[in-house]
Amino acid sequence: MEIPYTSEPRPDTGLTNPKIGIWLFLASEVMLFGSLFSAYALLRMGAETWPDQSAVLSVPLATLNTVILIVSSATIVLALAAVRAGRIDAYRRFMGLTILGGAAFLVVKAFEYSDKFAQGLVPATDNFLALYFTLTGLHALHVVGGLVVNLYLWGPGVRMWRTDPARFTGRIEVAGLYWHFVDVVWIFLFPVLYLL
Amino acid sequence: MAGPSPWATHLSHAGPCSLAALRTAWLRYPNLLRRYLFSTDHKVIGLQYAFTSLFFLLVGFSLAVLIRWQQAYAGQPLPLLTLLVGEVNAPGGIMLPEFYNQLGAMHGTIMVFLGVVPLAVGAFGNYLVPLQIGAPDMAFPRLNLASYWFYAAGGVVMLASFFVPGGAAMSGWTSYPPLADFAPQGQTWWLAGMLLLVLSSLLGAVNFITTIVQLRAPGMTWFRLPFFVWTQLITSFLLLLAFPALQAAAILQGMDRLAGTSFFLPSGLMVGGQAVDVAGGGSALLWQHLFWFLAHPEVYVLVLPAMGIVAEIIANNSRKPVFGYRLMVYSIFVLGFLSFTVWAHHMYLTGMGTTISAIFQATTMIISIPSVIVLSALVLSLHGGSIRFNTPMLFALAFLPMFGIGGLTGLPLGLAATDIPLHDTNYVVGHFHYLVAPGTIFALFAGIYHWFPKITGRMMNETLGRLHFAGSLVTMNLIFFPMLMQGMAGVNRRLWDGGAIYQHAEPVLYLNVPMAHAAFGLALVQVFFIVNLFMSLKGGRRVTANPWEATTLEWAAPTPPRAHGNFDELPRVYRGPYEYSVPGMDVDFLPQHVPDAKAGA
Amino acid sequence: MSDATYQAETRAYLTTLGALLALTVVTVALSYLDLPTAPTVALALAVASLKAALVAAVFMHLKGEHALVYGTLVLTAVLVVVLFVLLLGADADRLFGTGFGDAFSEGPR
Repeated sequence: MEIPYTSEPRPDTGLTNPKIGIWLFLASEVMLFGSLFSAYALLRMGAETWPDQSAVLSVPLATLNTVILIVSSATIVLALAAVRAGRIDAYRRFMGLTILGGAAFLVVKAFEYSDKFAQGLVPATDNFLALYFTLTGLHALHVVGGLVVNLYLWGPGVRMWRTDPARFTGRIEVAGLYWHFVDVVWIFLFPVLYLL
Repeated sequence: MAGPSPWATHLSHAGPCSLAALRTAWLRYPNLLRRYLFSTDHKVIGLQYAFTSLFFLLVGFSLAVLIRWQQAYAGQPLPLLTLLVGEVNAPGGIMLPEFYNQLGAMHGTIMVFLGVVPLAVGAFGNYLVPLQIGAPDMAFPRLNLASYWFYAAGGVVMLASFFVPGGAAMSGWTSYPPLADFAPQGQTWWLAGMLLLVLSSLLGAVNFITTIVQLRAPGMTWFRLPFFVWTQLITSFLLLLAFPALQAAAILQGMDRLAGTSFFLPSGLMVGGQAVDVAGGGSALLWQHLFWFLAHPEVYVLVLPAMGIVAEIIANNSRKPVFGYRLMVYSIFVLGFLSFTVWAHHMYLTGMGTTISAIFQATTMIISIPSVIVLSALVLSLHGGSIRFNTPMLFALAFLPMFGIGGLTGLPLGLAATDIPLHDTNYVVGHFHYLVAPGTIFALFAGIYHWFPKITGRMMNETLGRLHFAGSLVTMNLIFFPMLMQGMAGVNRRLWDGGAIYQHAEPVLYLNVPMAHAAFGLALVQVFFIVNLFMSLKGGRRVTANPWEATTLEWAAPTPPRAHGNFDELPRVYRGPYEYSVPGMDVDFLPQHVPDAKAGA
Repeated sequence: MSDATYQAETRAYLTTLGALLALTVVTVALSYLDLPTAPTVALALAVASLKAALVAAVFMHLKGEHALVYGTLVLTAVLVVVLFVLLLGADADRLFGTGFGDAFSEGPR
């Protein structure tokens, strides 16, 4: 028997199953990053000394990464709009750009990390760097996860467009919501770790 | 599956070099694998959860039996012990303190995270929620399969940790740093296993909530949901929003252990007379906050499904609607929310100021109100009923006073003035064991006896069931009540020698021996259950689809419910869940799916 | 979806993108102003929240979303606040130098 409401919304809730599912998952992610941010606040406020963050880290690289991630967030929602309009070529273009954005973000991040390691700055150095590596590392893992999903939906997953377009559109929406969330986390990480 | 397993016959002919045979078997029996191991049917997954978690309950309980033996006969050799746990852990049959600490930490971890929660949520929730709301399956069947396998993987990692150098985690089930930061590598395995279990719970919670919100059958409005479904909904929200805190904490502790950070290590920390070579500046209390932000809601994860099961069984066996259904639902909403605001009552001894302490004492006292409302409603549901005293009902009835004792003994722990002397004594152990063992586990047993006929089409044996019930009730009380007495006399928990080095423990030390004997007795009476469970699978009395004459939708499905789809055709719901003994009717129950015209006849 | 709505939607997303990039410039610029700590933190977090709100409202279509999603997010937000406030509050005297910790006690400290 088919599971109802996988691609058409249930009338009384107005939502499809995957959409509720992803929002619930994002709620738990909010709690995860919320817990880590509260750890940051407690450790920083309780510290006797705290390094000048913007002197230790590279603000230009982080600004570049912020721009990259925000642009990729825009391209994935443009990809969704394209799917909804039935323009599958435009969809592939925008999703491709999103993937490039995610990959570029990781490349910049790798440069940043190797630069820190080269200066002998590692997680064990002090609690600021410990938090920096843990928070950005976890965020980078989220980027990797999103990249894998987006790559699938750009490549082999696009076949579903012909067999079940409504469900495919739902998948793009869900992948997009996740990707925007990753962007939102970075929007907070950027000032908290680099600027304050 | 009738007759000898095709696996067994095939593999026995294959001989030792069976890789090719496995391949053949894989090709020949893909259906078998798909049906029993990698099925996406919620009922199969529910049963996988059930058997795995019952296995872990047995493992966790065995550790507890060893603990009780050690408490009663500390330092005495038991040759069998070397055989069981190896020369490393018990040279000459004498249990080493290091191994004793592993027993304590892993008993708690296994019982809570691998036994009770997976049985209450993974097994009962998975099997019953789609049936009770009239759905063909869970909303995300493949995600469901993934949650089970993450859980199984977490279990394997936890068990494997006993065999790594230095043994399993030994810093208590709470894994407090700085101790846990310096524990042998078993602690890292504990953290890895915990991350897998957290992942499993999160996926499960997403699935449960979506299922309950989206897949309710036509006519199944919110206030026609059986109370059990409500408890699963709230439980899922607790899992979803509380577990990430432990996820974060486990990541931080993992960094401390593997990358040399000092999230939980303060400056100037000395270990064994030596200054520790770390950056410092961390806070050990940060772990406690994050841990208990999960672990207090986790208490309600243990309790709520039990309340749900008991409510179903009491309504059915007293042939009456539950008393104050809506009030009970509102109560567990309040309970669920407040459970996020009480966590620091586990931390009164950490030197927090009186203001914060007062806030947490207030929320702790407030949260007892909804619990009392639910418990009172369940007791009042019995009033005026024509009660059937069968095995599930006996367990459900015993749940009420046992859970009551657990709850009431919790009040002194919720108030700082009385908590300070009682903290970390056996009183605490007695208190939460009353909640979880003769409380939650009794409810789970009740559920197994109650829904067994739906799953198998056969009844479990009533005599064996009663023996199991009476034996468990008596022995559990003989184990846990003396703990309260010892604790009030000031006996600390987690003592390898059972408290022998403390003079003030002297008057209550003798209790360790009867407690140990009661634990052995409890182990023995579980044999009734295990025999009953397996014997009834084949030999139980055959029954129809609705032997208890119950009203909720799972009894409207064929027995066993259809693979992938449950019902012959999806039901429609016409009324609330507990329409028993409606005046003016020929029968004393009105199932939810029977239209008014037919029911009225 | 008609071409006109597609064009309109695309334009709205591009406008939002422009606003987000402008706000990024603002954040970075603010950090070079060398204001005292408190206003720096407040401003940086305010701008970040504004950006997050834009992403959520426009890109994630939270504007005009269904009640169920709002409910879940509000609950989550409340719990994050509970965690922050009580976690930091438990250590307030040390962290902020307040006398809040024993505000209820009487007599000399």
